[in-house]
Amino acid sequence: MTQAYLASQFYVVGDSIGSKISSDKKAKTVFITTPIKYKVFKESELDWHYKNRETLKRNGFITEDYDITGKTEQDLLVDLARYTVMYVEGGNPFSTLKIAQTNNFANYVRTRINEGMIYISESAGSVLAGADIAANSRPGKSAQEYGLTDTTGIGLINAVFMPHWGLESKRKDYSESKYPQTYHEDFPYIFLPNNQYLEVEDAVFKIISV
Amino acid sequence: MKHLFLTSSVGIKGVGESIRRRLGHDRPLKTAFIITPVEGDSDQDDLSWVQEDRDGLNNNGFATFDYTIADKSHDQIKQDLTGIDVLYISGGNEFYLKEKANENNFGDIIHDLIAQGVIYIGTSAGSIIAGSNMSALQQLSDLEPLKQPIDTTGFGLVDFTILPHWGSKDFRDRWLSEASFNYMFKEKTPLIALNNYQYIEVLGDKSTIIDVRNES
Repeated sequence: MTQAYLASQFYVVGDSIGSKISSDKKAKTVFITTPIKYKVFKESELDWHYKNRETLKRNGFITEDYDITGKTEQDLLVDLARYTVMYVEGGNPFSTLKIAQTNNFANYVRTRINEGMIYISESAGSVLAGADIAANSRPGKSAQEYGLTDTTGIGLINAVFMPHWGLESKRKDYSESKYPQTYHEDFPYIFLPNNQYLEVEDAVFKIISV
Repeated sequence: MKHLFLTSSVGIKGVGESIRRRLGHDRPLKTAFIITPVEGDSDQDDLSWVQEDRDGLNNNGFATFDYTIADKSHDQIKQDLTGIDVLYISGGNEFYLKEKANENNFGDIIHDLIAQGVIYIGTSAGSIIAGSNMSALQQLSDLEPLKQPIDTTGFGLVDFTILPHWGSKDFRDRWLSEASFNYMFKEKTPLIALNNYQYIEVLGDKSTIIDVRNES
């Protein structure tokens, strides 16, 4: 059974998510850092990342970092076997998907989730969990810039996840790129503000507001 | 348990059929076809889409009768809708429907019917108004004939707002206008954009998105 919690901004909703997962599962959490590895951030740009880590810690998640870059499919099988929760950080879904396509990460995640692993994510990690990531492109962070011809996501939900809806700092990205890019008769699109998250069980979802 | 089907258009081939499969009914379901949103639509010249939606229901085991809530009392509506299996809210003008619903507390009747097991099916405006907040859509509707201030609250059956007909050429200018975007881009309610081939089934507090093109 698929169990996933897809957030726009984890530290805003993390207390709610944390309350829904047992302590023994939270004790074995792998923190996928790959989405933030696409560039070197200045310290001042990482406030959100540190808040996410603090929120995980406050809610009893005991995390170990893992970067899927350069790993083989076999490495994933061995290295990630002991974890019961996977947290995928925000950052860049395009660079992450490019790397994920080298080691069949999406298939690995789907298999593990079917076996009971819980998937938690924010922003790029939630975009990656959706049906497709292309509509989230914007100049400087796009499918084209990473040479992605296949933009299929992990597919934990049969919709495209559009994070940070309504956030003023994202207005330009949305008005000039993301919003018009969604206007196709292909996937359903879910535009989610920061104070909400999707709770997904198999093909069924609930939207939780905090 | 609350059971809703929120569509862009129940008249699109495959949508009514898909809902029928999910309900599995083996007898015609008595269906009140609420036409009030149509009465508030600014374009009364071509209402062929209303008949297409009606056909989409009638061809799939829903025995419809047209009904308007306009100028009716609360008790009259309750009496008239007694014994229905399905409440269908048509497309048209959701803000007009809300104005008329406020005159007779139709929203309370809807909640009572759903609690009694009546199935709710919405098309377009009927799906939008199932949400709790329609404020994002004010730029897209004809508000001129309505009383001020406009009531932008929906019936609160779900906690998201449907954006129907997404990707359709017919609605492109409305959805993608700068004014619409600026009105919609607010940190309030989650928005779910559905094209004409998709709908959401809500059972209790859980939702599933169905694309009828994937069901053959």
